[in-house]
Amino acid sequence: MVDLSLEQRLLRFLAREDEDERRSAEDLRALSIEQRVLEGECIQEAVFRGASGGEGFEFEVAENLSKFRRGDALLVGDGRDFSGALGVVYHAYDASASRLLLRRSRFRRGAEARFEPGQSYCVDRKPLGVRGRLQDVVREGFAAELVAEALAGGTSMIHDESRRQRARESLTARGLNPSQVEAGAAAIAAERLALIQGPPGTGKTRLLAEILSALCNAGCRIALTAFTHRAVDNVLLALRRLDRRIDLVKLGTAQARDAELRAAGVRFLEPRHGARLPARGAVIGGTCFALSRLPQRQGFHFTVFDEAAQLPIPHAIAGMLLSQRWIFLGDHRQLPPVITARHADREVTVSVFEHLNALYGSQLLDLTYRMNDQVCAVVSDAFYAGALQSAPPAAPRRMSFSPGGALDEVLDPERSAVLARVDHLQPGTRSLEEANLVADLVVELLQRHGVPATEVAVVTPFRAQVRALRSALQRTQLREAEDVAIDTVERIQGQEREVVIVSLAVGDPDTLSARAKFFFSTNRLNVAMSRARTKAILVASRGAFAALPHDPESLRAANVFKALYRRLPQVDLSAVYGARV
Amino acid sequence: MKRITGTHVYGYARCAHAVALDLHGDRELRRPYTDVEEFVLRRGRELEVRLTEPLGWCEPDYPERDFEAGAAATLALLQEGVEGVLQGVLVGDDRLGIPDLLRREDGPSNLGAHHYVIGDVKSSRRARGDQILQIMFYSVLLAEVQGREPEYAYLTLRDGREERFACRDFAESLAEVDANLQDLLHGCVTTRACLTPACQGCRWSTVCLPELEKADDLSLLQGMTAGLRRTLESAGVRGGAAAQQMSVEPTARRTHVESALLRRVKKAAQARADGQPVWEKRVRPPHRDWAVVHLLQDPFVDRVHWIGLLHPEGEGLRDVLIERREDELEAFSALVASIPEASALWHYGERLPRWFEDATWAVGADTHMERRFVDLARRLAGAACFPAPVFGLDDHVRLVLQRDPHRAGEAGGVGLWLEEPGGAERVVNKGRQDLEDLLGLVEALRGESVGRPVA
Repeated sequence: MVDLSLEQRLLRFLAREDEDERRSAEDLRALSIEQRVLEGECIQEAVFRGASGGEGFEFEVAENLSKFRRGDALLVGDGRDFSGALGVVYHAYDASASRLLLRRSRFRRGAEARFEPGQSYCVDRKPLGVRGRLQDVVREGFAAELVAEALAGGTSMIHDESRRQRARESLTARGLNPSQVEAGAAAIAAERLALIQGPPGTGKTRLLAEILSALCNAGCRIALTAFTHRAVDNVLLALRRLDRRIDLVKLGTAQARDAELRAAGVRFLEPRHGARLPARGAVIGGTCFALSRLPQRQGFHFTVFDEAAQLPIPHAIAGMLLSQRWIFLGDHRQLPPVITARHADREVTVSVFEHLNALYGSQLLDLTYRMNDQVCAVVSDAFYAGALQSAPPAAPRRMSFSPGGALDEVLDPERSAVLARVDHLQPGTRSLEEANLVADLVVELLQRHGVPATEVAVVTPFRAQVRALRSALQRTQLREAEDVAIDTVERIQGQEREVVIVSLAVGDPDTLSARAKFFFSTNRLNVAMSRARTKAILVASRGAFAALPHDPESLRAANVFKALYRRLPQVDLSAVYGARV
Repeated sequence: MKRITGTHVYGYARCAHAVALDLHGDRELRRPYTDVEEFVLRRGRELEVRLTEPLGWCEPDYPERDFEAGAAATLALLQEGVEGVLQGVLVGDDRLGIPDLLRREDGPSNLGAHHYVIGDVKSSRRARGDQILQIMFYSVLLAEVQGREPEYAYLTLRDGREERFACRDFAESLAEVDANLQDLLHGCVTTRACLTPACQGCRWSTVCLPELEKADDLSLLQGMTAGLRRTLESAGVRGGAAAQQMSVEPTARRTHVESALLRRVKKAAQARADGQPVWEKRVRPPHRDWAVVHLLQDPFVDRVHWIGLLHPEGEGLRDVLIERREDELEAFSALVASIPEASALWHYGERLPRWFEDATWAVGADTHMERRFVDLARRLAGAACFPAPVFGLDDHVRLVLQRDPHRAGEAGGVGLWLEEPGGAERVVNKGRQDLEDLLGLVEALRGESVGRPVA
C-alpha cells in the first residue's frame, strides 16, 4: 500500500467520519421499528398524554431501551415516514411512572404540536451533521511548517533552562509534589512543546492553573482549549480560585455554567469580536471550534490543551495554529476521542495526546490524591504499569462502616476494591440481576454505613443499564437515592466519589465477543474504577470475563479484565440475585 | 497418548465443542476436506516454505511422530545456539507444540547466553486472537525448556510482515484457555454443539448439525447465542417449537431478558417453522435508479479477478475479467461510468467498500462514490427474521431465494480455478450467478417478488 502523508490520512479520516455518520443514519432508518428498538435507537408505542409545561410533551412508555439522553435531538412520528415527524429534544424518562418527557426543539419553537392524545408514536434519533471546516483546518495546519513538523515528530524538545530552574523553585514553593514540579517547570520553560500525563486524581487541573498563572504573570497571552466547554470552564474556574488578578475571557456563550463563570469574573466574547481580546497577561478559553473562528488569526504566546487525550488530531490543529508553543495535558489511559466510522488506519483515530506521546513521550504525574492505597494499587497495576502511587493523606483512608448488614462481605472497607459476582448470561446491554444487587448495595451504603448519597456513583458502559439501575433504585423508595450519580462511564470522567459501583451488565460471552471493541475498553474500565476514593465495587457476571475476542486489541484488553477477575477479592451473590429460572 | 496441541488452542477460541470432538470423538466421522479447503491448505504450506526457506534454518531430525525424540533433537539445536529452528518440537505435561519458527535472541537462559522466541507463519492479512493464543501456548512450552519466559512471540503474516505480541499481554487469556483445555482433555467437562459462524468451515459439522436438527435446538434460530439458549432452556423454552409458543412477557419476567429480544426470538422460531423469512414492515425507500455490483476476489493474493455490474433498468449485465492488480480500479470505474451518476450501487457485505478503500488509498477517500454504496447484507439483516442464522451471502441466497448458492461453485475457489484450464470461464460463470442472486435478493428486499408487501 502506498505511504500517504499524515495530512492525506487525516483528510481521509475526516471524509470517512462524515460519510459514516450519513450512512449510519440511512441504515438505521432502513431497519424495522422493532430492530431500531433493539439497537437502542427508537422508543416504540409512546402514547401521547398531553403537554407538559410550556415547551414539553408527556408520553406514556412501558419499556424504554433507548440510548437517548437529555438534549439528544429526536423525531416523533409513526416511525416510517420521517418527513412528517416533529423534531423534539429528549428530556427525561421516569421508569416508575412509565413517563417520557420530551421538549420542543429550540429550532422548531414556532411549530405546532400535532400529537393526538391517546395516540401511539415512535421516537427516533434525528441525524445531525456536525463536521464543518475541519478539512480546511487540516490543510492550513500542514501548510504551517511548525505544526506539520510537530505532528511528524520533528520538533526538538528544547527548554529555556534558566526559566525552568526558576519555575522549579516557584512551583516547589507553591507546595507541588516533585512530579508536578518537574512537569510544570518543563511546560513553563518549553520553547515549543510539552506533554503532561495526568492519571486520575494527580492534581492535573491544579497544576494547569499554576502553569497558566505563572505564564500570565510573566505577561503571556494564552489560548486555553479543550474538546468540551465543561473542560474549559473547569480550568478557568480553577485558575480564578488561584489567582484573582488574571484577565479571563471565554469565547462563545449559552453554556450550562455561564452564571458561575460570570460570578468568577470571566468575561464573555463572541469569537468574531476577537480584536477586543486583551494583549497580555490573559487567558482566552474556548473549544477548538470557537478559537478557530477568531478573526485574522490572533497571536498567542502559548496554546494550552486540556483533556488532550479526548481531542482528535484535526481539532487540535485548530488550536495549534494560534501559537508556536503548545502545552498538552491529558491521559491516554483514560477515555479516547469518540470516533464513529471503521478506519483501517487506526493511527489517525487516536487523540493528539496519544499521537504526540508516541513521538515525544510525556511527563507523568505519579502521585494520586484521590484513591486510597488499595484502589490505587489495582488501578496502577492494571493501567499504569505500577507507576502510580497513592499520596500519604489518601493512602490510609477507608470507607465508613457499621458491621451487621447483609452485604458486609462486599462492603468491608478493608477490601477497598472488590468483585461482587452475580452470574447471569444476559445477552443484551441490561442486567436486572446486577441492577437489583446495586440497589441493595446503595441502600446499605446510605442507611447503614452513613455514606452520603452525593458520595456514591454507579457507572456502567451501557445506557440501557443506566435506566435499569435508576429504576431499581427508584423501587427502593429511598428518597436520598435521587442524589446518587448513575450514568455511563463517559459522563462521569473528571468526577470522583467516596464509593463507586461499576456494573458491567453483559454476561453472555458470545455477545461480548461480538461487542468486544466497545466492551473491552481498558480506558473505560480505568475511568470507572478510578473515580473511587475509598471503595470500588465491580458488579459483574463470571461470563463478562470469559470472552475470547478475535481481534488482537480486544483480546489484549480482555486479558486486563481477566487479570482483574483473578486479582480482586470476590463475593459470589449469584444465589441471591441470579434470575429465578 | 492424547495431548493438548497448538491446534487445539487455536480451535478453542472458535468452538470448544469441536476441540472436545477432536480429543475424544471418532475422527472418521469428520467430513473430508473439500477441494477448496485442500487448495487453501496447500497454499498455506507453500507460503510457509516461501517465507521460511530463505532463512536457511535447520529442522530437528527425528522418527515420524516420535515427539519425545523430536523434543530432544530440538533441545540439542537450541543448546547449540543455532540462529533459528524450523518446526521445532516442544513437549510439556500433556502438551505438544510444533511452532514454525524458533528464533535466537540475546539474553541468558538455561541454554547459555542466548534464548529463543516463538514465531509462526500465517496466511492471513491481519493477526487474529486465535493465532496469538497459539503462539502464546508455544511460548509457555518454550519457557519450560529454556528456563526463561520469552518477552514476545511473533506472527509472520501473508505479506511477510512480522507482528510482535508481548507474552505478558495475553498470559491470563492463555492460562484460562489452557485450564479449560485440560478439563476437556481429562473429560472433566462436557460440551454441547451450538450453531455458530465457526460451523461453516468445521469438519465436524456433519456430526453436529444433524444432532441440532434432531433436537430442534434453539441455536438453529437466528440471533441465538449459547448463553441465551441456556437462559431460555432453564426457563423451560427447549427448542424452536417451544420458542414459537413462548409467552414473551412472563418469560421476560422469569429470565430478565429484554422482551424486545424475546419477541425477536419468537419471530425467528416462526420463520424456522414456516421455512421462509418473516418480513418486517419497513419504510419503502423513495425510488432511485440502482444497480448491483459484485467482485470475485482471491483474498490470498489480495487480487480482484472479476467485477460485474447489473443495471436492471438500463444496460443489463456488464462484467470484466481483470488480469493485473493495477487495472482493478479502472475496470470498476469504467463499469460504474456506464450507469447514471446518481444510481445506488447495491453490494453485499464489507468486501466492496474495503477493496475500494484500499484501491483509492493513494488518491484520497472518494466519498462521492462511497456515498452510492448500499450494503445489501445490512439491509437484509434489518428487513426480516430468517429461518436460520445467517453468516453470509450463501445463507441469504439459500434462505430467501431457496437456491443453491454453490451451483456455479464456491467463491473461495477462484484462485484454484484460475490455475486450471477453462478456469476464467468458471470465474465468470460464478460471478454472473452471484449477480443474479444479488438481484433476486434486492428485489425480494424491495418487496417485488417474495415476502409480504412492505408498508
